[in-house]
Amino acid sequence: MDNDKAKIAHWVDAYAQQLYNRAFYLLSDRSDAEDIVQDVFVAAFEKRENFKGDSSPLTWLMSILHHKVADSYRRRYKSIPKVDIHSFFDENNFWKDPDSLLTDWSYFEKSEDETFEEYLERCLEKLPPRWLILVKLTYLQEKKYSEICQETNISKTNYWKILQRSRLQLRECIEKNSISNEKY
Amino acid sequence: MKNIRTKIIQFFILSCPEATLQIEKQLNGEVSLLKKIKLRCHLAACKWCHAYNQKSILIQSALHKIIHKNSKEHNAQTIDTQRLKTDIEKKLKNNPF
Repeated sequence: MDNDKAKIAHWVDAYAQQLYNRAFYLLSDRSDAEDIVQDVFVAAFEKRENFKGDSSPLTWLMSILHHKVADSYRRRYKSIPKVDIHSFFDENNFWKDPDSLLTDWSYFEKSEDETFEEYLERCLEKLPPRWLILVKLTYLQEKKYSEICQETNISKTNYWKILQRSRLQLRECIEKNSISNEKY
Repeated sequence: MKNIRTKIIQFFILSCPEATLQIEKQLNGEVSLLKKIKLRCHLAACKWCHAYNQKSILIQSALHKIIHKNSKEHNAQTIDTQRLKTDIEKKLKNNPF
């Protein structure tokens, strides 16, 4: 047991910073992130038999972290999410901004001040936290979406609606930039 | 602007909001063969959703890049590992096994 404790202590030295960075990236809150990292190591110690050494310790610890983040998400957001896509479509289910959809995004390739990715990054941070965490988890985890739904206790229908709504918003946000820049 | 072909497709096969949902599923999960065919029909007839699909693919690859990069480089602050160890010890004592 002391041996195991020494191993965990060694893992704390080696991986705590990376885990903390990831937790903070997902939760955007220092004390929540710190709390989660502690819980990750506690869980790692308690479930140490499960670590087979097939993957690196960091990979294993990260998967525990993602699980813990999904857990805290479930506890924080208990209500059913309200996801409304009506701001994008009219009463005939047609696009409200059809013209901007057809604009060319090659503008970004020519732009010198901001790349497409930098702009998308800023648009991403404008998503509501409740959606953003889910989007981040989706792209970080190599898990199937059904596992994310299960861990966060979000129904599949709502999960897809949130992703759909997020992308609609991201696209519109990028569009606004490219339109405002074409004027110059 | 809205041509008749689009209207027919909207009505019988898939509406634009439904098409954007299917695009999402196609990019991140799974779509049944029938839904795939429906989406294809819609995209062939509706140039707006076709454009949305193209842009979604661009967003998709950029999202992968950004989120992977930022999740590694995002520097919150340096964590105090000594204090972290003490806190973990405390939590372990509270949860005897």
